Order: sequence, then structure tokens, then C-alpha cells
Amino acid sequence: MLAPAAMEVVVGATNLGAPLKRSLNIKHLITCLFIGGILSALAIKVDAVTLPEERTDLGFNYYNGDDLEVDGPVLLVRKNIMERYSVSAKYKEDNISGASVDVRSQASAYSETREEISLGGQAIIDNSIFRLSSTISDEPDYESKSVGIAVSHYFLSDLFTLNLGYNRGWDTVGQIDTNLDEAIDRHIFNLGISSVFSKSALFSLNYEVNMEEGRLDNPYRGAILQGAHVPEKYPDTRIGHGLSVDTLYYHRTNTVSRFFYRFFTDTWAVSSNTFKFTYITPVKYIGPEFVIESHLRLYDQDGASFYSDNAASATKFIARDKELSDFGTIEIGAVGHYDLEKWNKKYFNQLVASIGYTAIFFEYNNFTDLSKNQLLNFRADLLQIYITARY
Amino acid sequence: MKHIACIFSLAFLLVSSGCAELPRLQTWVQPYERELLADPYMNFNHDPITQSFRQHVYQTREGANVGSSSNGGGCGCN
Repeated sequence: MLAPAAMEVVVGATNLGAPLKRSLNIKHLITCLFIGGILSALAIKVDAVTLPEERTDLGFNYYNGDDLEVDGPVLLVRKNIMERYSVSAKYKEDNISGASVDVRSQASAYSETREEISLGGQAIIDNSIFRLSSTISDEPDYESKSVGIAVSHYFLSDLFTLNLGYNRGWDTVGQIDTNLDEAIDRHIFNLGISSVFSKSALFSLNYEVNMEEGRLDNPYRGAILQGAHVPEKYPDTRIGHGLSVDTLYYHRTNTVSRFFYRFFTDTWAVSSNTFKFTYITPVKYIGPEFVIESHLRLYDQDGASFYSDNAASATKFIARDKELSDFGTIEIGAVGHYDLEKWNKKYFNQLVASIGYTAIFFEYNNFTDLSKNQLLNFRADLLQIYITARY
Repeated sequence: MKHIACIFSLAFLLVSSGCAELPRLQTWVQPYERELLADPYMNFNHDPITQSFRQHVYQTREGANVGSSSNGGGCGCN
């Protein structure tokens, strides 16, 4: 049963859908962004604004957790043109097989493939970098398209960078062996500022607003009401706010440490705290060409107001998605980068081979694995192998 | 939505137009003092392959990472 305060949140979420479409004026926003960008580009003389490094990454990703396996290749190519423009392309494939806890209780094992293609372009205009991006993700029962525009403006001798971004997404939700065809509209706004804090420290502060509207539940999943399986019912809209800080520090010992924190809250009463500490160091026993990047990440989440493991009474909205429950994760991992100096050729400046492993321990506070009749907890293993060429 | 769009637009206009005066202020780290900052690992996005892989895992496993540019769905990713 939902608490009164929780009910208010749920009702509030449903009322947000109506004004979302009416008040949406994307042309106005894009026009302002362009005008602002042009004004800012004219405001100051040119400083040393540089494009991202030219690189090609070819790798293989593997995920295994909760009886679900995902693996597939990934390719990223980024190339500069005339020192003012940069183009990039990325291809990623996920081959999914298995049966997660939702599937075990309500469906049968399956396998499918998801393909993702991203294209991007960047251009330097005086001391600003403008970015355009587009991504398409396709799988048998779900399609996602998005376009994004962003600008980074460098000022005060490049000590500060103002970042603004807007991403628009269109998803199509389907279901195998049915004619289901429903839409999700997404709007993501980003506002951030990064700064050179000292000769060896960088600081970044970012704020994000995320708006979704449409079929937000999963058509395969159901909820449980007084022990009986019933369809899930979600609000049509969701608005989330994320605030994060990120710092990088270069130590005298030629090592780099990074601290990241993010707070998130949304209109479904989901809130979370994320802490991440990363430490990057060369391994002296092997040589300066071998660098290891280790990290510890802690995630804690309070679930949605309408989430219930086994609802005692009928409510307007009901969900049993474990991603909306109360849970936490502990994540540890490391990536080793080995500079293949002997293999460097005249076509590229650096060739690096990398291998990474990450373990994520999930522990749910109010989601029961019905096959075992106990609260769910599992470990997910992530493995990556890839090679990077910088040129 | 309209308010957020206006706030973002105004923030950008104000900051970008005000930036013309900022270079007159004294900088605390001169360009020739940024050798350490130029290290490839002193970049918030120095490993895009790893970041995008992990971000997709977070997006499909956590309730607070919604709506990125690489959404996926279906039973597998949920």
C-alpha cells in the first residue's frame, strides 16, 4: 500500500504529462542556443581550444549477471579534418541471451541482438566547440533514435569551460509476437561548468534534466497484487534531475586520482547517491608503459513510490521492476593499459592494448526472487578487451 | 519544459556575453603551467569505450540512469 506522501508524488507525476507537449518549444531553444553560441564565439579572441584526440578503438565487451549474458564487438573511429572539424562514428553490437529474474518468473529464456550506430561531428568556432550527434539503437522489440546538440565555451584563458547540451530521443516499444507499437519521447538538458582548479587539479559540476513521456513500463513484466500476477501500470511521464561533481588530481608520483559524486531524484520518488573513486598509476614493476586504472563505486537507491514487491491493495499505479526498488551496489574493477611501443608505426602515434574486469554486487532490499523465495542478490561480471590507436 | 528551456538559453546568453570581460581578470594558472593537466589521463572522458559500456549497464540496471542516447529495451536489457 502506498503511503499518503507517496501517493502525492504519483499523482503529481501524472499531471505533468499534459503541459509537457503544449509548452514544448524546441525551435525556440535551438535558436537561442545557436544565437548564444555565435555571440560567445564573437566575444573573445581565439584561445587554444582543441578538438578531442584522433583515435580508433576496436574491442569486445562481455557482461554476465543474474543468468543473463551480453557480449559483442564495439568500434569507435574519430578523425579530425583541417584542425577545426572532427567527425566520429561508433558501432556496437550486443548479443543477449539467458533469462533474468523477471523472465524466470514470467516468461521463457530468449536470445536477441541489439545494434547501435552513433555518428557525431564537432567544429571549433573561435573559442567554442559545437557538437552534433545522432544515435540509432535497434533490436527486435525496441527501437531508439536520438539527436543531440551541445556547445562547450572556453573562457578566462581557458580556465573555465561552460557546457550546454540538449538531446532529443524517440523510442518505439514493441513486443515479440504481438502488434504492440508504442512511443516514448525524451528530452535531456545538460548544463555544466568545468574549471582548472590548480596546476594539477580539474573540477567539473554538471546538472541534468531528463524528461520522458510515453510507454515507460516493460510490456513483458508484471506486478504482484496480493500474490497474484497483474499487469504493471506506470505514470506516462517522468522527470528526473541529476547533479554531479567530478574532480581529477595529478599527484607528484605520476598518478591520477578521480572522485565522482552524483545525486539523482525524480517525480517517481526515485532518489540515489553515487560515489566513485578512481586511481590511475603506472606499474613500476613492469614499466612505465603499463598503466592500471582501478576504481571503487558505491550506489544506493530509494525506490519508486508505486513500487511493490507484493502489493497489499490495488493502487492507480503499480510496478515490480527491480530497477525501481530499494537496492544498492558495490562495484570494484580495474583496467590495464599496455603501450605497445614496439608496434607503433608511422601511421599512428600510439598503440595501446587494454583489458578490464569489473565486478558489481547487487543487493536488493525489497525485491524477492520468486524462484528461491528470498531477496535477490547477485554478482555481475564485466569484461572488456580492446585496442586503441592514436594518430 | 518551457521554463527549463528558457533558463538554459538565458544562462548561456548571459555567461557567454559576460565572458568578454573575463580575460581581463588575472588567471591563476598560466598556459605554460598546464603540463600536468595535458596528460591524457587528466581528461574526464579519456576512455570512451569503457565509459559507454559501463554507462549502458548502469542505465539498464539502475533506476537513476534513464534516458541516455543509447537506450535499449526488450526483456534482456531490463
